Amino acid sequence: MKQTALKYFTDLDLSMLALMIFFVAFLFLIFRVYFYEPKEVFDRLSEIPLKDEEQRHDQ
Amino acid sequence: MSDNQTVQVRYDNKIVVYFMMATLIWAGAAFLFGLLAAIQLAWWPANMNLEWFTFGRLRPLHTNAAIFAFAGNAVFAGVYHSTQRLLKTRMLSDKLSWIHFWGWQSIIVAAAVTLPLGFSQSKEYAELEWPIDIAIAVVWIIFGINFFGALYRRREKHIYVAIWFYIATILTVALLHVVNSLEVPVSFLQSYPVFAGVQDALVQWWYGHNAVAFFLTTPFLGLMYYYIPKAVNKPIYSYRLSIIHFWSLVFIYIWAGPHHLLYTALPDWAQTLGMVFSLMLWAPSWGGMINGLLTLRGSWHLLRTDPIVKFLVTAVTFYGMATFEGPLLSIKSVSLLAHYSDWVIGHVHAGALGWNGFLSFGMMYYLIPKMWGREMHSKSMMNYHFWLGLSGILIYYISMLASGITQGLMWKAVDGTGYLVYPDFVETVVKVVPLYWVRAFGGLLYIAGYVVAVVNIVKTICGAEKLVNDEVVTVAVKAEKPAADHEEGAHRKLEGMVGTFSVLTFIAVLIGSVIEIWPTLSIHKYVPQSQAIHPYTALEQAGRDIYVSEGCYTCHSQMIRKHPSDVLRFGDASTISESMYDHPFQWGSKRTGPDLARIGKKYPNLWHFRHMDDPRSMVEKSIMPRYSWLLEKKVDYYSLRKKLSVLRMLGVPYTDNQVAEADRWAEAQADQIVADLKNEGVEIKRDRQIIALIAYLQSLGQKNLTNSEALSNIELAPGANSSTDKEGGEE
Ligand code: HEC
Repeated sequence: MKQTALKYFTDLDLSMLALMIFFVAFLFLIFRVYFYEPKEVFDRLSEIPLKDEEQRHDQ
Repeated sequence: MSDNQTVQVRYDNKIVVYFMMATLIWAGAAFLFGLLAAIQLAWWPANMNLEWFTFGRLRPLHTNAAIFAFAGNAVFAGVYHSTQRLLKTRMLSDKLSWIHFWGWQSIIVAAAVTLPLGFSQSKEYAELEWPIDIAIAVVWIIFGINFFGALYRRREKHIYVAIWFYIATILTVALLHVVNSLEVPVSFLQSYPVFAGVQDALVQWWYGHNAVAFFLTTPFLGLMYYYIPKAVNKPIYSYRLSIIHFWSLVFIYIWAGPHHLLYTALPDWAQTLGMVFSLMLWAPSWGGMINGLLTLRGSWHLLRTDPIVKFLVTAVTFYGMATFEGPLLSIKSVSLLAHYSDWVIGHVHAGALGWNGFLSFGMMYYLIPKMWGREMHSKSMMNYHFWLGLSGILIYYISMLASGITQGLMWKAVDGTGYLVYPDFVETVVKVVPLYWVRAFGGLLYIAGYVVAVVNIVKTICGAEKLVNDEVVTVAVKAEKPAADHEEGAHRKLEGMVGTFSVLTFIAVLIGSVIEIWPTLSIHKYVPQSQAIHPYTALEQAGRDIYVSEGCYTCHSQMIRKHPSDVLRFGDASTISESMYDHPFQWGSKRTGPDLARIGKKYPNLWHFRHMDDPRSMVEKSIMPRYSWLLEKKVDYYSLRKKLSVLRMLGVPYTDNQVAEADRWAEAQADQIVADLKNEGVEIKRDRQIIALIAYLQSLGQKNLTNSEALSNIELAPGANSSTDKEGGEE
């Protein structure tokens, strides 16, 4: 019984399931990133590394 | 709260400097070990007949030094530097920073001592023995606490993409390390992994591949996303793309491990999964590369004028090339040609020297002037370094590509009548030796570049007035709630929520791991009775430990793939059951020498005796190192009781009697081999390592029970089932 179950478990079904999970998550991500969030948000985020030494006084 | 307060933050530069110096020092060690190993393959006397530096022990030392000592310290330097600035806070605790630093260096020293002494688990890039494994876990957790503590105390609400890559690195490496290091100690510096055979192979390559993904790729991508914008003073080309890049990589990478095991005894579904996900990696990897490169938009002239940009951009280009080649190599038919060959060695060096090496050097050239408040001593030396390094990598890569394809084609070549064109394996070895010299020359050039860099850096530092300790900056701190509320999308909330974000990352990684590994963990239970095999006898197991410790797997596979060319050359394809008691598995990843899965009974004992003592005495053109010390060193027969009892605990079906009398069982079998050798005119004591190793080699491929024999054969008293190896001679 378990053997049979396992045989099916290792079948492509599960891989397909994983693939679907991934694909849906991916579509969701694309939607959020490209269509939902305003561009300014990302512009601001991408500026972070350039603004990290605002005022230096070495010591 | 008011809208804009300012605070003074002290960034810890000293820790960054220390990690950089460690990077530079260990880089030299890693490169020199690599060069020596390269020369050993071209010219066997370079093994010097010294057991400590023979190829099988040197190669793990080289890979560990390159990955964990050189690349590891470079990552830490970059992470400690960029994290403080991106989060506008010092790390959580200086004490933790220093424990991390010294802990990591001690681990490296421990590796540098134990690997040459032959203490090795033989799992690639995870060779270190259990006490060191524990130390690695502890130090890694300390690093994690220090990092997440800084995240918690950050003064910048928004988390830049580089930090995500660091988070993924810390979490995933912890998971990989712990699972792949599940082992049961036998003695202070020896252990057996809990997994066996195909399970061990799958777990190991899940780890091995993701060591590349999460130790050599994600942290370096984090560094790329920070240092390229810094170097060209422009934001990353597309922040949106970086988010897609991140999530796709984290989700897909973890599945790709089985592409190291194509055509092996690993079940087909897992192989297919590994191949498909590897192919999918093309997209995000190239997305990432393009994102890095296009950051230079409008500043391409910097490529000509600024050596730092040269290093960084070339590194990213190598990232793109290596991640193009990786999926290509994962296609089953390409793997058939390339696997076990030097092509793969070329591939990893394009990644390690090009991507990791150049990114590290570029980053250091950026950091050193900042840390010491002074320009680099010489710009032209940086350029020399660049060109020497680049030529070195290209020569290395091209020679190994040529060698790998030559090997692959020669191994496969079959004439019109269905026979191998090159039945003699050593022919295929001799053919590529000239290319080994070319490769060594490429390595030498890279090292020359490194030497120029060291001189340049030392001169820079010596000319500096002071060592910059802490760097104090005034930063504007936004109040808890940002003024502009429209930005507050759900995605940004998510990204503000470090906890949730980390958990999601972890889940993404876990899904792939569990689905892939779990079914394999019970696979041995379903091996049909007709395919059951004998476990190794005590003496064979002792020999196996020597094989593992000497690192024979660095040149020999024990996995005949399911393909006519492999079967023609080495015999029937290996089955799952044949390695089901192998803790650890020894499938190998490289065929500098022939496959040994069915070497048992191919030659008489005397042949092995002479061959191990001096391979050239049996095979004139062999490049295999001499192992003459095996004729002197002794086997500790008594320790076999402990070893067998641990193996039995792990599921190897030894009887009480076999465990309790393991030493006598082994000695009895050793006597037979000694007697056989004596008949041939060789006198040797029975407690010598060579005897155990011969017993092991003669057992390979000879452990199948015939259908008429029952599993209960194994239950017989000690000595009885050594009959599988020495017909007729019981006790
Ligand atoms: C530097 C790579 C290298 C290492 C390390 C190495 N070998 Fe070899 N080995 C070879 C090469 C090349 C050949 C083929 C030429 C020959 O037969 O000597 C070979 C051949 C052999 C053969 C004969 C196989 C056959 O089918 O004829 C055996 C057995 C063997 N090696 C055992 C070992 C053992 C045991 C170790 C570890 C103690 C070891 N080798 C380590 C490179 C290596």
